[in-house]
Amino acid sequence: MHKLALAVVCALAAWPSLANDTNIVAIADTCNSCHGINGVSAGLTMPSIAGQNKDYLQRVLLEQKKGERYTTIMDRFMKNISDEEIAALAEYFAAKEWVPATVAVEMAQANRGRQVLRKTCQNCHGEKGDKNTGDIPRLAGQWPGYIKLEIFKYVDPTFTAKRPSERMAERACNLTEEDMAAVAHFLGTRK
Amino acid sequence: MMMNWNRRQFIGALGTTSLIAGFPGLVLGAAKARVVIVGGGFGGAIAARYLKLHEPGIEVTLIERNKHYISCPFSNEVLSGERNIESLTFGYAAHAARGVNVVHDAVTAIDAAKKTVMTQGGKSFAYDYLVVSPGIDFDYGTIEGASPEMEKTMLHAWKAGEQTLQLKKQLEAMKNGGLVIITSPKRPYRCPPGPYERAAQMAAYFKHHKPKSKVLILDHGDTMPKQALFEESWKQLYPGMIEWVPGSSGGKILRVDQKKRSLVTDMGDQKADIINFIPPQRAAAIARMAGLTDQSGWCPIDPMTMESTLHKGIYVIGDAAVTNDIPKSAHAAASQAKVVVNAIVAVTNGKPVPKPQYTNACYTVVGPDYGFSIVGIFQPEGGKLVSVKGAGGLSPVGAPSYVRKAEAEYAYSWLKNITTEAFL
Repeated sequence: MHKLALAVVCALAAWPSLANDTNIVAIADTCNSCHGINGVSAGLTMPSIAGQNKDYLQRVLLEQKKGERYTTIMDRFMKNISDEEIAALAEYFAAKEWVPATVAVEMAQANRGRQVLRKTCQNCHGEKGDKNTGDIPRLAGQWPGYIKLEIFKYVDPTFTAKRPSERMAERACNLTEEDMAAVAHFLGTRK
Repeated sequence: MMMNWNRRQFIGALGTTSLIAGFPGLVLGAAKARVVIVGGGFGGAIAARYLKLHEPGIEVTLIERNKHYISCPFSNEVLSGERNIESLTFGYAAHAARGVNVVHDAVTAIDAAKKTVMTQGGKSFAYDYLVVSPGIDFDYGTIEGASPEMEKTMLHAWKAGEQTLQLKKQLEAMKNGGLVIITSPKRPYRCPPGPYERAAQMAAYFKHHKPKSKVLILDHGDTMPKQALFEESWKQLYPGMIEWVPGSSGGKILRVDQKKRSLVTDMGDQKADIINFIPPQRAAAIARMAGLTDQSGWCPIDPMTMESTLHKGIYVIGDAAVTNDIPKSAHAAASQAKVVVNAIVAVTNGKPVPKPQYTNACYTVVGPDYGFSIVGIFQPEGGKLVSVKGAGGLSPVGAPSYVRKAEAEYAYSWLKNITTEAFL
């Protein structure tokens, strides 16, 4: 065992960034069965994480690990991942290419979604939903099924856990279910 | 780490790369290493995919009997009519397109000393590393009166495909008010929550089409995985339709009477309109023929690397391997495949072998918008694969409908992503 430990330590010492370390790649590989090869999800409700903002990924994973952010399942995985590994995983997936979801455009819904975005979401998420910072995740090209589930958190009366964002809560309560589906669809068709 | 990768094998692997040692990533015609994979289920298919993903210079041969693979995960939904079997059927064209040598043939022998695999078609394949991912066979010999012939009258439907469709036809032909028996076998077996999810999916069909019908589960064991979640969901969705009899309360099958089509337990003769007999299991025949199994019928492995403890240089992954706390699931097989691939790639490229990462995510869908899950994280400890304490765990009992719906949706996305990872 100690030889293995030594090999691991050597590997850590040799790399300035952990993101390319074989140990991080090995952990990242385990994410793919749900999030897709290299973090590019095949859909429909599982979010792509490849090319997502590093600070956002790191913050969310840490919050999930600490139980400060609601998730159906991620907290159970993150409890085994150290804070350093979370930082490295965030860097690893952020460095991958963002591959937009494949969503066939439905014009009426997309137009309605564009209006909803302009009226309700663009101040924070940008005109095209492509704002991409530590606070704001990139939504342009994300899977609509995932975006819908996330918005529903703010309006579904059976969702009783702490909601992750006050600003989202204020905005989402103005939307009808059709609005939410439309804006999710519009965002999903962006690149 | 080299202690787990025998020195001869390591030097052998280095030997094949010595020409290009100064130019990592550059392939000069000859393969960096030759890997043969036996079995194209989730374990084998994902091993092939990740070898090509992480080191295209490795020559990969995937030997699989069948041209198509039918996913066992979510095949219970074929029984309720929620999905068709085509949605679970996959081929190997994507592997071929990525440069995997896909061979549709049956493996007849493995020569561990000569590092060669022989097939029915008369071919032989030399390897530096062999990954064996053969899945399960049924073991009828452990129950009196049971034999493979009963597969025709008491369907197993535990390898998704023709049997799944036949069982669905039986459900459709059954009268309203009929009884189905599902037997849950001795552990370990493939997909521990499967029999209980199946009961729910059958009840989902009955609820709408034959509401007086019932499902009786005769269990070898006294507990079921995700027990509180199953019991809660049955009560909510299918009240009075599913009865579960634990082994010590008379659920254990003592004898099978094929002529009378009945199962004998401590409660006496059990008869039903449909008997879905899920047989006890062991590693598939090729693993036994190759001498990879021990007296348990499964393949013992080194938990650091999944290397067979009986034959060096052969890695056994998936349902066939002895993995202690790790259940026999597609997701677990995927993570084992990656452990082996990352080790082979590291050794081939002269890098340290990473710490093995064993995970399992297992989703259950018991009806429309109603899903739950279990997560397991495992690590080698004292020669075994042991659950990491403080990580993993179950969905909460008593969760609101948002959570159940979200988990059902994530369950389908899990299926989409893991089948894409394996086959597309």
